[in-house]
Amino acid sequence: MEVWKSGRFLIGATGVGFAILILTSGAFAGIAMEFDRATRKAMKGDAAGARQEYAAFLERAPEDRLAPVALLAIAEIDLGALGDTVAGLSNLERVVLAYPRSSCARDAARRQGDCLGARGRWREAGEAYALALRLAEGATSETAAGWTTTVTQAAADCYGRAGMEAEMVATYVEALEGEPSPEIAGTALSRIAAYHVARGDEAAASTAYERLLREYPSSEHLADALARREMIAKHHAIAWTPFDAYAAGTSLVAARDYPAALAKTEEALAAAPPPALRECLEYRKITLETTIAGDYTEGCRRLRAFLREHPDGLRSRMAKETIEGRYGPIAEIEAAVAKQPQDLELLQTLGGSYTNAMAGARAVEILERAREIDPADAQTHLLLGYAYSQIGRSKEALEAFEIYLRSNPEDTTALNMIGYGLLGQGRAEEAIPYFEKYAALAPDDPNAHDSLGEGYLAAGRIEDAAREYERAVGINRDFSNSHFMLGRVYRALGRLDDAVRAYERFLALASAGPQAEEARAAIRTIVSGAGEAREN
Amino acid sequence: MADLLTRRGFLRKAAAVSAGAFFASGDSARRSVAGASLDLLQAPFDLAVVKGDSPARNCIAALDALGGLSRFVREGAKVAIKPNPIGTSRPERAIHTNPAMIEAVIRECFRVGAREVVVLSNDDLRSMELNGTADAVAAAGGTLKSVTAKSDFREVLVPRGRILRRIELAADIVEADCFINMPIAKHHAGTQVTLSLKNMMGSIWDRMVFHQTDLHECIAELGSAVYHDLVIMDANHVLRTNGPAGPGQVSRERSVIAGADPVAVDSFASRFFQLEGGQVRHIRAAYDLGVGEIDLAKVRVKELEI
Repeated sequence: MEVWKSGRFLIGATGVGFAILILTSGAFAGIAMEFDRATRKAMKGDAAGARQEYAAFLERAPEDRLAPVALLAIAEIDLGALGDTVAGLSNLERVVLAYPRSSCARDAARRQGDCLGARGRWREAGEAYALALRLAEGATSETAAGWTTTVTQAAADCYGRAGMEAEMVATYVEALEGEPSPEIAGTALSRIAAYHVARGDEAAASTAYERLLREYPSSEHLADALARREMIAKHHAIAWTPFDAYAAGTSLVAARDYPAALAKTEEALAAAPPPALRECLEYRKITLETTIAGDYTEGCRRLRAFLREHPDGLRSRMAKETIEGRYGPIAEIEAAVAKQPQDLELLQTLGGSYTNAMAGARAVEILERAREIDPADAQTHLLLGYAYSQIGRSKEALEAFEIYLRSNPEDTTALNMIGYGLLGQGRAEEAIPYFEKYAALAPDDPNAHDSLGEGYLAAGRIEDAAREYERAVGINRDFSNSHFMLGRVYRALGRLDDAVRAYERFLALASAGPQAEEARAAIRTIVSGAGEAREN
Repeated sequence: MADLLTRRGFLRKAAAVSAGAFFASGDSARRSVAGASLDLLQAPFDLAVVKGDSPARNCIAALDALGGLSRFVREGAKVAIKPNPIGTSRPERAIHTNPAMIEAVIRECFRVGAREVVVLSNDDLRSMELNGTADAVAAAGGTLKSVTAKSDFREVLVPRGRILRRIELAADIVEADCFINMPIAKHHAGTQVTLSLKNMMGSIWDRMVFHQTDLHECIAELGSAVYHDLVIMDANHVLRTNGPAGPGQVSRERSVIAGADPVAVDSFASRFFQLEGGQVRHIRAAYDLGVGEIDLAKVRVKELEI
């Protein structure tokens, strides 16, 4: 029916006469206005009023493309502002039943999973998430980035909490049968393998790990497979050398030892890696050589050639993002600097871009040229501070930040950087005053309290750290890192129930990644009561 | 205790902080277009696109083509304006909304009877001073605010949100009788373009969740929660590459685009980047959420050369 478009745009499409005709009937204009009024009322804090407008829209135009959007909005208002869980869940159900082909259906099912999970109804939550995944398969519009990964993870997690391990594995198996992202595929295979290991079925576990090695070596779970090599070797013939060299290279990249990482990459490539691993290694070789040489124009050319060879591979998305977000812009600014080598702003931009691209040495070279042009320019010193920090020249970094701070004494970013610079040198007591000043200048900034918490923690002042992390999440309840750190701090203080809650809150915000793994492991350990000392 | 810190590298946090740093009841036009007969008769167009050499004159001509600013700003109204004021370079580098346009709009607001005009963004005040925004606002009698404290924001519902449930939006926008979004058309490395929908990220407290989840989807959801009375897009100079901070390739388009529908305005402005609105995911997602019209064939556009 598309009443929405009619209401807003067709009014004048054929001129004023047609508009007057519509005004006479009033119907189309009324519907458009209801949708608009809902936006305005919600923005002004009138949740009940907004709900009424969406309901009026829905009543008049139940077949409009925006009808499921309106019904889902009603459910959200019920659940959120009005706190009516029963009505909210019921309206979510209506979205699923009435508009199963709409993308809103999958979102409604997911929201059901969130609500039920938050109330500890794990089985129902798992089923709701599983339904969301099935509905997503039939939806016409694409899901948000990471949607399938997150929902699959949530479904499996809820099933796991409900003790429904077979369903948990089935969720992952189903994910693998579709077209999973490399991230979810790696996680799925690792979890399936762990499930079989726990049941003593080493052959099945080895098969899952072997597939992870063969198809998804970029997974963060690669280390799980490598740790089980003796078991896997009984069932599959694997050449471990390239995997070991790749894993060693990953650690060296994280430590920013790029020449050593490159050497490991070349060692892996020389050891006849399987195709998926070869692709990852080739991508890494290009990016490492580009970073070391600082020739981003050449880096762009090589990555484009790489993409032609691997248009849909494990590293294609990353390669595209690197070209568009890092190498391309840098190559362009380099060309501008070549034409105007004395342009301070261009040099600063180029230096900052190199820092962002983790090419600290080149950034320092450029920014030191900028400093020669205008030694008094504070911005140059700030950027130099970042660049020096990146390549481990901590003393010079601190000096640069201090110079910048003289003319910008209330720049909280610089205060934070200095604080972390000192922490990085193990000088926690000296770092704390900078973090305290940051927190005093920006008392409403959760990051300030998070940083101060980190400073206190490094100085062994755990209670003070807990207080600051609590402040951070008090300001922004979605500030995930502070929830995670609160989990650690509470655990260290023996406040185990609080620790579990903090970790769970963190997991609700960030369900993937190393911190999430640590949080899950901590919860399991605390709940099982293994070796944990409670405060009382 | 040290091991509690080992997993969080100094630079990781630093990078995040650095990225953060860089990075009424009155009747509005749309409601008037939809329901008020007199305003409807005066406003036969949804979008006005004016080309000319003077950004300020383009701006006023675009407002005139929409029936005049008095259709959007009532006497005694508080008006909130959100420009894109980042960077310290000249307007010709197309990094920030042209201050001459901001000045012209503020003067026009007062001319039609506005009680108060607040120009705001959660960007650094120092850059707004250096790029001329502060002088322009002061010259026209407006108030400039760098909204960077938590107390500058108010929690707002996002009923149509899938990722966002609530956002903390600049209180001046929530409280205003009329909200005018004044972006500049730029390339953006993360979102292809930054136009009016993306510009709203400069009016919220916590942008981190956008980056941690799905930037395009969050931008669309933010658009669904903010009632735009008017969008006035600076496309006098358009940053075609290396946005949003530049420097990059700039094309001189000599244009201002104005309208009440942010999706329609953004869809039109996408053309400067050889894109259709539907090819930009956050514009498409905003359309899917009912924020506005993406199909320019359904939008009445008035194009003028002055």
